[in-house]
Amino acid sequence: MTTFLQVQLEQEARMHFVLHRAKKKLQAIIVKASDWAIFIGLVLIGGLGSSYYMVSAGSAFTTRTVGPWKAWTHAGRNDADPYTRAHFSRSGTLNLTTEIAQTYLASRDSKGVRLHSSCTYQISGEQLDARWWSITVLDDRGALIGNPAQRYTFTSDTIAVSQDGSFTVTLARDARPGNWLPTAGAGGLRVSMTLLEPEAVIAGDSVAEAEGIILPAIDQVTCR
Amino acid sequence: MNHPLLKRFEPILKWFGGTRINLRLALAAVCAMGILHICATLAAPMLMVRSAYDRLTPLLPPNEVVVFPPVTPESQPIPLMTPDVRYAMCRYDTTHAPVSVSASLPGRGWSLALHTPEGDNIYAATGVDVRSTYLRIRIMPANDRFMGLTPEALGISDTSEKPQSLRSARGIVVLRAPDKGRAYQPSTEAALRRLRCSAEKVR
Repeated sequence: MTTFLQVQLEQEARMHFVLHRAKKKLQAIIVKASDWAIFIGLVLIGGLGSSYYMVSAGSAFTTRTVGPWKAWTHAGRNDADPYTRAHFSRSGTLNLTTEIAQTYLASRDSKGVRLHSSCTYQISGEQLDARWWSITVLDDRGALIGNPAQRYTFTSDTIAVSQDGSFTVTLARDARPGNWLPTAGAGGLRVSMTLLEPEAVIAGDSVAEAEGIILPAIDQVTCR
Repeated sequence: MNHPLLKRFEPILKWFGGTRINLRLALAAVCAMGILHICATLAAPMLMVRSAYDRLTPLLPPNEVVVFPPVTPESQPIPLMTPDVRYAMCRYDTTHAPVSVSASLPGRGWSLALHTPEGDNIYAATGVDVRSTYLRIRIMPANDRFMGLTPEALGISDTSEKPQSLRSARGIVVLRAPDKGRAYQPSTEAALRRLRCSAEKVR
């Protein structure tokens, strides 16, 4: 009787040991799998995410920010960095080289608030330091905003300038006097400003270029 | 653990102490992240199926000039193509022969640029105030293929001014004219139509 009980206890103990080992092994597999899942997740999020950010938003190495305006410093150039190349391939735009033209984009006003067609904005500036320039309003996908007045842009040739050389462009849904660009129904807005042959670029002085650029301010007037 | 700052962060430090961090795996993750970041950035231009060149190709027959109507929301072939300028374009292809391009830039704001399919400018020139700038460009194939005999080799004396030579297989020539308002539209269009872009005859 004692022998039978002993055998049964031994069998139970062995079974318990086997189960314990299996549990430990399973735990180890789960830990290893979770390690690898975290590893792959981190690599994908970190690698692809950082690349996406650098390509779409840029950094201090690839863009120049002047107030609400941002320009890619090596757009359209043969010696452009990989981020600039990827950015313009992705955007599907055809840019003039920054050696002769600078295109600045603004999607926020001077206070950093996103531009939206439900608000009225004033873009006001002095005589710009370029041979020719233009200001165009677009929706946030870069498409023109349809309007019956067929007003989309002002250039240094077509804009009404005051006597002291300053100018004001109004972005609003309804008609406004002066340089008005309609924005009705667009949602998010982007303002593009092209400067052809800015004087500092011609001079080739990068410090003067960085310090001497004075671009118009974008101020919110009202919001509905 | 007497420092007040350490006391404040004690629970966080305890949590980190309890967490098992595989340092080798963390280091490998950072390296792999860097490699993936570089690969994704470098591969991005090749993976974009709708570059500006791809979007414009259906609108532009090879080696022919197309003068675009004023850009409107209905006729905006590529994003950020703004109506501040009028465009004349030519999609050049030097597969069979070199391509000759000539254009005049009548004044300030005018520009001529050669864009590769990747969007790089391989040539760009702008107009000046005082005079009209006349440009002649010969686009040669990117490889060193034999493209026929030169006029001198054929015994023809060529006294004309030599055009500027560039090497490129494919791309787009873009002539940009500044928008000066409706009154100037006919003269601007006439000047855009003077852009010439054609494949040369190989002898």
